[in-house]
Amino acid sequence: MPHTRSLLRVARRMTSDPAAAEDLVQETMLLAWRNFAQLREGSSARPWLFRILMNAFYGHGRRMRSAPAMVPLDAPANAPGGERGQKGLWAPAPSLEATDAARALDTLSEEHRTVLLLGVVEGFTCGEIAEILSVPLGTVMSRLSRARQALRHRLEPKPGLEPKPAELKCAKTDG
Amino acid sequence: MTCKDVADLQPLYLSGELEREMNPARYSAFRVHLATCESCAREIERTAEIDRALRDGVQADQIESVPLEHRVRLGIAAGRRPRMMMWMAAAAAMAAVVVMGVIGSQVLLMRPSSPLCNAAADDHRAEVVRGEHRAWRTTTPEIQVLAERPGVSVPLSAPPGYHLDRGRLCRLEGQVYLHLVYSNGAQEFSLFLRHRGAELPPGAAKDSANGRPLYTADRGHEHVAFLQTDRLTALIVTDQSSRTALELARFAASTL
Repeated sequence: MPHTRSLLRVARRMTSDPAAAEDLVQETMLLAWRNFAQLREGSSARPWLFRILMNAFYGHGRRMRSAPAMVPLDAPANAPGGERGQKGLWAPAPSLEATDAARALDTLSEEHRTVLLLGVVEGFTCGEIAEILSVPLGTVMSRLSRARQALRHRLEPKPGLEPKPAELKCAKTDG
Repeated sequence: MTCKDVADLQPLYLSGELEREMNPARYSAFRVHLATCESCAREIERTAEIDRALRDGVQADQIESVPLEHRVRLGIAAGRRPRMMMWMAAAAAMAAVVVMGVIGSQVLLMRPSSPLCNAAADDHRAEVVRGEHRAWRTTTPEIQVLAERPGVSVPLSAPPGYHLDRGRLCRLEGQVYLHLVYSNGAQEFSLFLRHRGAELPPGAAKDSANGRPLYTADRGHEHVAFLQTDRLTALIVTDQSSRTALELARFAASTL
């Protein structure tokens, strides 16, 4: 089943719980099966599947949603958030910055994680993300900008630069 | 165009949508600003680097989807079981496999990547053979920034006699690809690259190189070669011959 791995990868990062992620993707695929007729002819199934995934995720309210992880950036690569840091037999090891970036993602807010996962990791355009999340294009653009800033702040903290109030909770864990 | 304008438009630029979303004059002003403002250029380059690091880091997650897919098939079959005989439930599970395949490939064919090869051939014909106007990037740093979007790097080497002439982003079957055009002064071929996804090869392998199967497909005057490495999906399109496409694919298989 194409796209299952992508859906599962995003779901794991959204829920921080492998079992909950599998339940979410199973629900997504079953909903897709039942509503297959709603997929417009000629349109791509991938954004459609991710839209179902996101609707299911937000539909579950707080039960399935994870707070930003409190992960120090010098924690072992395989600490929280599933199995990142592990590689396939032939896949080259991710660089140190890649490992750090993936770890820092888990410390971001749900809103920031969502747009980075969709836009940067899964390669959706801003227009596609707007459709997946049912928000205006401008909202996606500003969320992506803020999310990138927040991620960069985690990776390159500047001395004397105070994090914004929304980032305080997670920023405390960085030191 | 100010530095703030460039920062505001950065998401569209990095996603390859900016050219489509803006009028040509404003897009041109954006490009001019980026070419002349070192600070903005450095900012975008660093953002693209972090994007690539994040993509590589998250995609290194080990994801085992087979047990889940089995559960989904059982779930589909079980959803119908109360009103069906067991053999009908089995048939429903099989139908689910087919429909889920359609969801992925969009076509009810056993060779779902043929549309991908056709799309690459059509893109090559429109943009390279017919020379329809497109905004190409012609410097390696510019092309390298573009390459972040589909999660690839610009290849370090070109086939003997050829050089990298230009590049741009395009969409094939809904996915963003880096479209590179190589030239030897007389002839050009296209190389389409993206981070490896669920693409399936067209038909049976025609050859192999460096342990990688090579596939070919023809569409009109265009000849397409398809190959995958551990991390990349690559399509080569030439209007010369299938044999040339295969030779170029052999080179790509040993260097990508």
